[in-house]
Amino acid sequence: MGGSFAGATIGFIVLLVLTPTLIYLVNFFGSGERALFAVWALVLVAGGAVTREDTLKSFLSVGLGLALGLIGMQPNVGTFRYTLNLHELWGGLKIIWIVLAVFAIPQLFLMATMRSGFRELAGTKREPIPFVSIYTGAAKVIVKKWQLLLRSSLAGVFVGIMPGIGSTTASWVGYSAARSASREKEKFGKGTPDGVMGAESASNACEVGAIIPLLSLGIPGSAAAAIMLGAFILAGLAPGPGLYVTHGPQMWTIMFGIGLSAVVFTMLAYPFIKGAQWLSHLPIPALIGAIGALCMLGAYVDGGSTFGNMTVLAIGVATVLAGLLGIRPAPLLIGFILGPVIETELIRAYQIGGFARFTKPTSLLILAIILVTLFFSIRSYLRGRKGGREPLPGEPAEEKPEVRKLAAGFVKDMLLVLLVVVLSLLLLAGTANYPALASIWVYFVTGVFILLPALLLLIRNLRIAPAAVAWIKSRNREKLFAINRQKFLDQLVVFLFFVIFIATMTTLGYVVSTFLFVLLVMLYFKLKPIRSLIMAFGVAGGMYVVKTVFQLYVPTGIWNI
Amino acid sequence: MKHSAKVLIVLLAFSLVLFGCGSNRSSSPASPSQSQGGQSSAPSASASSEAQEEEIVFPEPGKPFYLTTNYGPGGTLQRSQQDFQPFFEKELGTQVIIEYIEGAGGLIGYNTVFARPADGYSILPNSATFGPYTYPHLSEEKPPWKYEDWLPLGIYSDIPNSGIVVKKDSPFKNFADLVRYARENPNKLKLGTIGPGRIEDIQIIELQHVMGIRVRQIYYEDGGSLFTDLLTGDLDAIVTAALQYVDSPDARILVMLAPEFPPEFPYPELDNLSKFPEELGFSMDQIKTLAATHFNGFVVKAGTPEPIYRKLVQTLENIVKNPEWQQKVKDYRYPKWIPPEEAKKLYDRYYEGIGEMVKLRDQYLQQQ
Repeated sequence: MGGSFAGATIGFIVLLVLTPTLIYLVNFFGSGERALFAVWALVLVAGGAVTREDTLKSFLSVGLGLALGLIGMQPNVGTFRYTLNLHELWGGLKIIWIVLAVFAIPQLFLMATMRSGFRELAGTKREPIPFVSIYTGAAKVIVKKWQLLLRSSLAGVFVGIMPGIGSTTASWVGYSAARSASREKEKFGKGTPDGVMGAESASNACEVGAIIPLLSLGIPGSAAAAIMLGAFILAGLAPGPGLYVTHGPQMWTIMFGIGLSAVVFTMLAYPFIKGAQWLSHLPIPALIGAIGALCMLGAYVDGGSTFGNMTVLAIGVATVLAGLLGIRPAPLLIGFILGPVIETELIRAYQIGGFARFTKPTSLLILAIILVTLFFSIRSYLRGRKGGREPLPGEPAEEKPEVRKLAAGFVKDMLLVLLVVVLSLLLLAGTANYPALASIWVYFVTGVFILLPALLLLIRNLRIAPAAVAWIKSRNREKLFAINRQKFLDQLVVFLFFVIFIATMTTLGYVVSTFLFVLLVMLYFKLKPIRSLIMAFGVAGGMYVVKTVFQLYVPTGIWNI
Repeated sequence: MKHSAKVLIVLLAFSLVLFGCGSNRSSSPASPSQSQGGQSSAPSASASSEAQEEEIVFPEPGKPFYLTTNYGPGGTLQRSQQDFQPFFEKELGTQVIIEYIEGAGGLIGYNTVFARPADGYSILPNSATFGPYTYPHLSEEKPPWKYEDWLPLGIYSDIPNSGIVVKKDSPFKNFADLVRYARENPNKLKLGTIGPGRIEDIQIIELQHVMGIRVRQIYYEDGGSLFTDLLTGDLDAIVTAALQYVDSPDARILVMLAPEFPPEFPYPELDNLSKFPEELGFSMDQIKTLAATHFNGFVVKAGTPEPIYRKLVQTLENIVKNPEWQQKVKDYRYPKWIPPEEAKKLYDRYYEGIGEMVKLRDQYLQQQ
């Protein structure tokens, strides 16, 4: 807790100092610089992906996000792209839809497969948590380990500023910072509190750092900041340099609010821990009901029709399936957000001054930064390929994969390649009637971010293809993928409950549909009818309070509730 | 497994029944365009009886009212909506929420409100540059509604506001300088506008045709980045709601895109187009779209019950006649109350006029 507090506080101080400075500099940025800055952010996302498990699939994830960002009116020329004659898509997909679809919905489907998990939890007792020692312990840690916390937190903030790298990387950077300065390096990897503090403070500082590019440039530094971007837009605030001019007081309030949250969160640690303990003992069906109802609320509010709900559910299911093939949600989201910015600003800059527009000193400086970033990313990728990454302390050494796993991976990769090639062909076919300026970005996205990684994925698999194909031919196909029918059925039923929710929302109203949804989920998972009824009333009541307090525009149905 | 399969079958049957109910319900009420038929000469809400008038309570206690805003935050429209908000709250006695539903040059906001019930709880802004009369003509894709699907609540401001704005230290001293530069340097002058899909699209084409120039028109989604690019030197000039820059330390108004100013215009010292025919060799008779009026108003979905519609009209009139509101908006709006009947006549003419302008635009484009 001490590490978290220190990380958030140090992050806040950097936020306070750096954001106005960055905003002052950004005032000298025209279209060319804005475009290049967004390109840099994308290179960082893709570059950050290099250090992760599967570079090519992370690239493909970014590419799929960019592809989703193509939908709607192309702002430079006014061409409507890939709208399928649905006017709801003219303005493009909403950020909040994508956030809910790629993060929340897959999580709910995952929870639906935890039948055994929630039964085990229901039978356990809650351990008592001492009140005072939580706070005194944290204070002692901060005083004693301030150098370690400062070092790791600063590292975390700067990782956070780089868009798309994320708190997982920040945790490792913070851990490494703590380890490199420690006199007891041998204790790292064996559960030393210093390692936990380094990682934890950097992770918290990273989240605050990710808000800096959001407030100053309008570019979210993390998935959480991207969610915040959606909330800002809903509240009528357009993050970016102009925000300080139009909403100066509100901006400072938000910044100090972030600082205050570090203090308040620490003060509330005890009730939060108790609350988390209570939540973890709630039946998972109740959580599915409550979170699902909140998702449906968010999807409806930003768009004003059930089209948003259907889109969230459809993309959510697609994300679950794509996740099985290795597609990652965070790079997909960042690609979706950055794609339209890059396209619009690049084309605008080109319209203003052609390629010469990018030869201004400020543009050249950012171009140089992009090249340096690319160089280090490629070098890191090549080193990783050559020598492999040294396992971190505590991390299990890489095992030689079984042939069955290789064969399964091969089939998945081939399926992914096939799907993205079909998608690319559809995207390219769609450009037939679009003007050149509305098509050029489509060509770039499909070529560089979809077809190229797909081709590399294909080449990578050629090496293992003979062994995999031989295994598939010689064995029973049933064994290639272990499909748990019960889990599949549970997910299918939850999906159908969502369909019912959406289908009844307009007729019965949001609150009544919530009640029905929660009740169905709980009864399906065999909770007692009385308990199910109480839970359904509780969640529906809670949603009624939420929609009333926040005055949200949702259907009230035939009973006007 | 057996339990799951049973539940699944029951669910499938249930969802089929519900889908059936939903589709029946959604198809039963006639859409405003269906119910209204052709274009009417004066605004009228849906057919209502005296009994209905007695029953309706508007707004219902605790039910919020939405000032739906079809552009993103950061421009004059946001300021205008924020200045209206407390006055609507006071008049209606309920919470008023400004919701931003942007996209496709402002069209998404209109589509969204059109998809909602005609209950009077969401109203939309309209102006000389965008509204129910522009989108059906100027949008590349035809909207899911018709011009007749909207009713004016009235016009609250009417003043020439569209103009060409340049950076304070721009080499163009006046409009003639800018035109001469553009004539000598075809396709070099970079002119920024918000769009596409707005009246400015046609205005710029007419400007080029009448003045004998070729410019590079660059589109922006909002006024914020448009003005930023003017200041960074990426743009030579912008066509925008100019009066917000009257006292700007960074920019100046080169010309107001109006053939003349009405007597009550507060800035008569500004140039308008009538100053330049001789110097630039054009005739004022050639000016069609550049002479567009510059009004601001609100519209509501047709089919709104008559008592609610009347209450909304009365509310807007009260606000516009309120000296406190007038004082608040005097920097960027010219408060003037034009009732819905007159506004409707103006919009009808405007709707037809834009249709003509589009033909003119196509002619210009063919000549180019």
